[in-house]
Amino acid sequence: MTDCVNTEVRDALPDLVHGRLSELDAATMAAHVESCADCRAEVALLREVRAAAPPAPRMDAARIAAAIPLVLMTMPVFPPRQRDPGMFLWRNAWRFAAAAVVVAVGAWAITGPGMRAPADVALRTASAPATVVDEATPVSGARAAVQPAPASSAKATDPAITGPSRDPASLSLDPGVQDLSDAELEQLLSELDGIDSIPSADPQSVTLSVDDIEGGA
Amino acid sequence: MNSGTQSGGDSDRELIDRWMTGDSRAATLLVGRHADALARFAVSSGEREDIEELVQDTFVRAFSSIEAFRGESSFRTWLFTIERRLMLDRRRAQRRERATVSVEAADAATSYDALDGLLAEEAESRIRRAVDSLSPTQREVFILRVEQGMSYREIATVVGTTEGAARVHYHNAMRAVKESVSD
Repeated sequence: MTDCVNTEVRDALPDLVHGRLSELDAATMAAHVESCADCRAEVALLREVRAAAPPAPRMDAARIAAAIPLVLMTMPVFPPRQRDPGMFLWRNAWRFAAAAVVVAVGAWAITGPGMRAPADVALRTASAPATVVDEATPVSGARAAVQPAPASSAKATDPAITGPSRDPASLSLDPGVQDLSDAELEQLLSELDGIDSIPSADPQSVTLSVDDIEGGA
Repeated sequence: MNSGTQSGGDSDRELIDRWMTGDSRAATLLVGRHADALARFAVSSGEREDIEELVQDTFVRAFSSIEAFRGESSFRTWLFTIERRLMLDRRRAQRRERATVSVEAADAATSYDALDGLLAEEAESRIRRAVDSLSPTQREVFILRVEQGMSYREIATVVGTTEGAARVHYHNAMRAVKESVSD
């Protein structure tokens, strides 16, 4: 059995067998098949294949349809929800309020009194050298030797060294001192000068002669 | 091929819309319209047992996901696509159970034995053997084209291939059947 060279016709032969062609196309095809032995043989084979198809059991449509879940059959069809702008704002008011509270708390946490501003640390390290307790120095009575730390050690910004942080405004004057008048301040300073127990913040100058050094050696 | 409209009746689309609004009779009409074709396709594809169960599963799946049916293909084509997937699932399950040779070959061998006793005419038997000896894809395409009368586009949708590939499969299958019958 050979094939017809007209592939377009051969493509449409199953449609001819199934009656899926228009009247015009069916008539054209029928005329070709009538004159083409290959196509006649192929149409005959197609009909035989259809006839030789294995028998299929008859389907019980009612029983099959009954197996379709009832819940699906009563499935309600909801119309699409319409959004009312006014109701949208009202229903989401609590969300807006919650967002505002979160923002306020966050801002307070960042700028509140409990937080140390980075500028505070810079001010401390640059303006006044931090003081450290020299543990190697013998303690005389209850008084520990306090000496200024070298500039290299002042770079430490560890709170353990620099002590508790304070507001930049409170670094220079305590709130109580700020309220004093000039006369009261002068009196306070003179009283402070009279107290011996307060160590001097300035390092004491030491003068050594060559003789002292040689004698010591 | 059923294009989805019965003479004097509602189209498949109209019946689907009616079913979605709660008309259970529409589902019965759709099942009655397509169930036999699905059964024939199943049998021709090598299914021998529980055909009605397979067709029923096909409809249950189809109606369960009816929202996914966008009408790009006909409802019947969509049903065939679902049924084909179910058949592939069945064969995979059987393959796991048997753990032997491929199900297609086993089914073909079984069908030979059954048909030899059942078919009266030798010509029909030869044609059946020729069709059964095709590769699974060729056989599917050939059955859908010759027995169901589907277009290449519809076959491509069901089998999950291109229209051109479906055409090539069909002509290769036809050539193989001709050679087998002529021997």
